[in-house]
Amino acid sequence: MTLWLFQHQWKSIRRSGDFQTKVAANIIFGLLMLLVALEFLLLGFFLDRILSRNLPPGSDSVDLVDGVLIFYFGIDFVLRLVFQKLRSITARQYVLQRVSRKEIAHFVLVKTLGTAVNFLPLFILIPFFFTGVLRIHPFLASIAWLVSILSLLLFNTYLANYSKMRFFTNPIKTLLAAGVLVAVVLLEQFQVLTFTSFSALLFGSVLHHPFLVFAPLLASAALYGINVRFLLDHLYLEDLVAGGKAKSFREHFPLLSGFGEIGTLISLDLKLMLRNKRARISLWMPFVMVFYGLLFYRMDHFNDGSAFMEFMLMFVGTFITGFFIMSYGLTTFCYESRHFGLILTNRIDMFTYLKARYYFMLLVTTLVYVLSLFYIYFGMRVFVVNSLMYLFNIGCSTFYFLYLSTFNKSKFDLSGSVFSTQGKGTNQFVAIFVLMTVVAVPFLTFQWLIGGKAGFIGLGVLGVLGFIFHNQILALLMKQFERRKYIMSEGFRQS
Amino acid sequence: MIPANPERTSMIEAHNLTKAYGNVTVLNIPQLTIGEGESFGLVGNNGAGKTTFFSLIVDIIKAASGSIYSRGKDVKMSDHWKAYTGAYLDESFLVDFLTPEEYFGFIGSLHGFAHEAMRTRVQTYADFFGGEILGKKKFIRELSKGNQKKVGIVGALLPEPATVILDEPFPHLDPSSVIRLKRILRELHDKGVTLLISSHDLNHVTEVCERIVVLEKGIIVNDKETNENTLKELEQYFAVHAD
Repeated sequence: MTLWLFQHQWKSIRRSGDFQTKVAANIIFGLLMLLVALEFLLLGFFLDRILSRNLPPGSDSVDLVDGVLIFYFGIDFVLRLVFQKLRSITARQYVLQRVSRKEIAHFVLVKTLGTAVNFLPLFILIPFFFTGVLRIHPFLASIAWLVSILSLLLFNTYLANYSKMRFFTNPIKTLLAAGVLVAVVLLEQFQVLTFTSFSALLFGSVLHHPFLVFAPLLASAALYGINVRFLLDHLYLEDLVAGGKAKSFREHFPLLSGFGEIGTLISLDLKLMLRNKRARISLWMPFVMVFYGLLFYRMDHFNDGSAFMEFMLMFVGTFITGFFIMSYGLTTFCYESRHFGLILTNRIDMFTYLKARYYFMLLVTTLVYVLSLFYIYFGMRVFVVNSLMYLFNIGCSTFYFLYLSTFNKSKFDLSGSVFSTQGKGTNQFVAIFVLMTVVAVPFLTFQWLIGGKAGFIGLGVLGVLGFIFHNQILALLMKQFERRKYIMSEGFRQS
Repeated sequence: MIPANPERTSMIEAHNLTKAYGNVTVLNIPQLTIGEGESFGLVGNNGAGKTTFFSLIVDIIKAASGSIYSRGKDVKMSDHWKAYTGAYLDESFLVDFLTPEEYFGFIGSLHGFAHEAMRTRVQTYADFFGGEILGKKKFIRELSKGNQKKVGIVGALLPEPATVILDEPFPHLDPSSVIRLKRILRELHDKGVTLLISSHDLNHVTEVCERIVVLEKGIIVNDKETNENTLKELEQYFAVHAD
């Protein structure tokens, strides 16, 4: 393996324009990950004890784990289809260099392994191996069991990678795969087919016949080989061009063209989002996030009126209608990083330019709000809170995220992975965290000083004020934009 | 060709202009005036400051000191120049997820042209496009480098600007397109359009421009009208620097 390929990767991170902000964000993200890892570690240590409490007769905790492993790997595979990044794009600049294609292929495949989905399970698996498997089974058999699970993780990684390169090139097919998984779970649920016993038999047999460990080992090695062969055939520049082709896009927005320059600018942004994989998520995610409330409103103690639950109600309400503002608002300028020169030098009035951004957020947020009206089913309280938070979003969150987006100066790779954190991701997380912390202050002040619904009403009033004075606030934002535009344009120029 | 005329009103003026990255000054132009209708060629080796100078004129980078005036007004204080300036410096002037037609339409609508009028204007460049760009149902990002450059150049010319700024317009173009582009630029010059062109190719730039300025490490080392000896002099100048 060529070491310098990995050194380049590190340099590209180290030398990117927003390295420092990324480090700050990554520290917070890393702490969260550490927390999850700790929890997994604890779960791993006590898993044997937890499972041993009520065992069916004639079985042990390892049998139970074996029984669910097939589902674990099923879910794991579907998640990988969605989240796992195709790394072949990163090889683009090396294809023309004097590096053998084989080395590049190995590099791409090793890089694919670097994902949390591969590391986090180990925090449960390894402690459980010591406290559970070794307690029940002989040493050699236990090792075989561990190795076969590890090699199945590899198997899944490369099966997902291959499927993504080969078959699952669009989200609909991925949805189909998820559908198959749901069907499997349903079949199990209604006892039509029992995959549990099949899974227990499959993984249990390794414990009884340790030599069977060679089956998953060889299978994952073979799959690695298949991946290498596929990459060798497809590491050509024309295969590595990212993004869709024009033939499949034909949208016009005649409605928008009636709104003059603002309409023109909004329709440009709409096209940007429809035609670039990574930006597309900002467009459909808000409509999925509407249903976020369902997770909370069905809880029993959600209506207990405690200060914490009131705060959660506010939080959920902000999210239901505010997700578009949070993702588009925060990345609005760096989405345009690739044509920022045109934006700055063409005949675009910068105030109108900012206004278009605001109206676009207003438009989508309002659509989402209309969609969210079904929550009235959960009572007037939820409806009123969500409406007030909608007002808060259009009058306050919009400007907050637009302001923050002027600090985002890293070039945005629109064709990259949907879930890449480059240019947003962790930053977005920090921004939302700060927003919620800042909002908590007036909310809780109103709530404690006046009581009742004062916190919600206060935020709603702030929102209405923001909306009424949006021209004045946008004028202030324009000053900020004018101050930052050179820094942004210089940052966007660095690739 | 219109002879250079000192009485000509100024289109672009630079005063005490400097640009620095860290401690390194990459551009230092105490005074430079480009007259209305002038065709101005900027030559120099890599790192001489050509792109920096053009970027300052279109206000996408910030000067360390000094100002650039377009028709007498500071470009960073007002947007007036955007109405009559067409520029193509690099790919960031393209919108790569649009088709060329959509891109031209977008620029047209920013300048307030009707769709039909825009389409006729685009058609006048059909020769330059050589049948490879219009009606192909391709996004700009799917086009070759040369064709992308053609789209960018035409995008800058379409609104019929009074000032045209092109950074390295000739590389990537095929030989016929280079000849057509030179013809287009000469026609613009005849119409009185102010041209600012940077180039590594001494041949092309002396053919198109009536005034050549040589930049070296950010400083103007030569500024002269083009005559039959200019090409030879420039070649000599750069040959000395190659040794």
